[in-house]
Amino acid sequence: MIYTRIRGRTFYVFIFFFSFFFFILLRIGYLQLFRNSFLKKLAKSQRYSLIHIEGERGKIYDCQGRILATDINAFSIYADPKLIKDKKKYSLLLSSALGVSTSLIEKRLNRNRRFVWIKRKVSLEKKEKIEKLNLKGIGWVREKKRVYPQGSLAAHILGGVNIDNHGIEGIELFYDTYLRGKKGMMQVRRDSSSILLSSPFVLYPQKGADLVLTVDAQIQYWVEKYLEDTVNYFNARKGAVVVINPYNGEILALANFPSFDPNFLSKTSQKNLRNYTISSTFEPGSVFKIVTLIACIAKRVDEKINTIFCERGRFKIPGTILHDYRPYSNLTFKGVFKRSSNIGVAKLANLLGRKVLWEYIQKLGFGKKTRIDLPGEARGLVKPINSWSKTSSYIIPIGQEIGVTLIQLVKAMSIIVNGGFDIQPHLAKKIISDNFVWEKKYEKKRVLSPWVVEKAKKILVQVVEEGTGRRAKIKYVRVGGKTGTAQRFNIQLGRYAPYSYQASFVGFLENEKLSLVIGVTIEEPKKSHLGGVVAAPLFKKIAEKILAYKVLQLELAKQ
Amino acid sequence: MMRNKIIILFFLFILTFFYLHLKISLNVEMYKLTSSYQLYNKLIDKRDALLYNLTQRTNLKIINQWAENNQFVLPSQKSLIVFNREEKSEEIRSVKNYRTFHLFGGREVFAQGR
Repeated sequence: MIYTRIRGRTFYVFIFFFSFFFFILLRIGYLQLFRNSFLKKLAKSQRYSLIHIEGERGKIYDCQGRILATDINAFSIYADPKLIKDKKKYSLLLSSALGVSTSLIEKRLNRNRRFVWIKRKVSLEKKEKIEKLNLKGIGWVREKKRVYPQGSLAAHILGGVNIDNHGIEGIELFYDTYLRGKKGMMQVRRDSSSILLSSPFVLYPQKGADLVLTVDAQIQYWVEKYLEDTVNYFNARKGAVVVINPYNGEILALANFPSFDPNFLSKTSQKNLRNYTISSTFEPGSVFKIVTLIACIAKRVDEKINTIFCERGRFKIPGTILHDYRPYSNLTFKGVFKRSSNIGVAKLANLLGRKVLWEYIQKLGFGKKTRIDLPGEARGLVKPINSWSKTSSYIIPIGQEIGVTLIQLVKAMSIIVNGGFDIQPHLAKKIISDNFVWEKKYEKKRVLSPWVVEKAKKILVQVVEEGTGRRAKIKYVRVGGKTGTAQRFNIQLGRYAPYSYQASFVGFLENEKLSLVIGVTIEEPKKSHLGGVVAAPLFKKIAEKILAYKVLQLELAKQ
Repeated sequence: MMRNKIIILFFLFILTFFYLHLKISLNVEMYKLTSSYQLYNKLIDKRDALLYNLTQRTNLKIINQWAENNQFVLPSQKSLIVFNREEKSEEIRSVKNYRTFHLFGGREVFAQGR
């Protein structure tokens, strides 16, 4: 009886264990046979993961090899709000260490998320400060940060990048595809204590190509400093300068004031970001008389006339009356340009006819982009010849009813200086990558005869020697140029604003070792409004400094 | 029969041992690699921080301001560069356009003259 009872119990225990193990076996069989691939993937994803490694962005150098932009390691601090209990204390501690407002950190910590950024791309010192605080739920990620060691120097050339290191302004944007590095990745394994272990399976990131500019940072410094001094001295609104080698189009300096610091691009106002040398269109005033000068020489008008009657400073033209700054009666061809007589130039242009004038406006590159390697270049405003009014053929030659950029003026002067070749102003000299060195080649095309430009150059030298550009004169150096004083058109008033002028000077300097074209424009100067008083002295200051610097460089190179 | 079993077991043990040994050494290598990467990254961090601090203190603006404050100017061909030379015993190298001048008080200077 007892035996039977024991057997019965044993049977139940057996059944229990058998069914238990049978179900386990069934489950194992099911997982192995039907869920195999899914579970394998799940296990793998928990143990292995891929980490993206950012490719370093290429460096930007000036022509002397000085670093203008580079990438450094920086640290982005993040938090897991779920792990943080005392959010007020955390925000106070983080705020004092990172220099971010307490309320902002507190707001971020109160978000219902497992991941929030506290501050991105902070320095090593700040990261170490945070580490010392030993705060639970706070971590960091290593990232690349774009740094401009020279601060605001050449800011409008360099532009800047966004938080993800993608170019958004200037040369950083124009050459973004070259500069940008390619991301790499690495397989990592998580051990039992969740430590990430590097594995040998690495796809190395590719560094972006380095860019060598034509700009000389030392010249750029002087240009920016003198420009700032001039703008402040004349209490002007803004100013811009371009320095270019007229023979190959290499830009040695390009500056705007007010400027900005590309290290703090996000905090810069849009107004300061704008590169006026290439994107701001203005009426050039008398500087534009170089077009009439060239056209007259090319058509030999200068040989046909002896003197031009300048109407004693008042000349009635269709629709308006032309004035000269000073009244002149008879002026020679050279005298018209030396004294910058509006009436004289208007009469000469009328002799040429609008078609010829149009042809030379085109030849000197106005109304079309110079193809400079910077984003946002303006074409300028040149009315099509068929929409010129009767007044147009009198006032366009004196630089009214036409819009140009400073870079266009500098390019036009370069054509005169280099013997009549159309050049492409540019900033990139070389692109250097691990696999290749691309030295950029720029084409030159003849647009003017050498004898035409040689004659024009002589007259432009006289403008500086004896004419309106006397303040740009430098001893022992051949300097030529043209001043310009233009009244500014006010869109709100719908007419030319009184006491609002644009003072410009575009000139060149030549000696046996060096040839440069420098364009200067100052907007709304207060103490004086004349190009010869405001812009020409700035040209001289810059030119003298560059001369001394370049001659010294050449001497050192010889030794 | 028994001997064969022992031999098979022995081989199995040896194979398993080698397999585990490989696994462990792979993990050891991974730990080593990780610590190398960590050290490398730390060094790069340090280098970048130093580079950043250096460039902040020695950028062109600061250097130029220092030069201007100390009244340094670019020498031109027409300027006279004078080096104050106190010791007479030192040999003077002959350089084109440079001569030795005697100043008041018996001092000698090595200068560029035209």
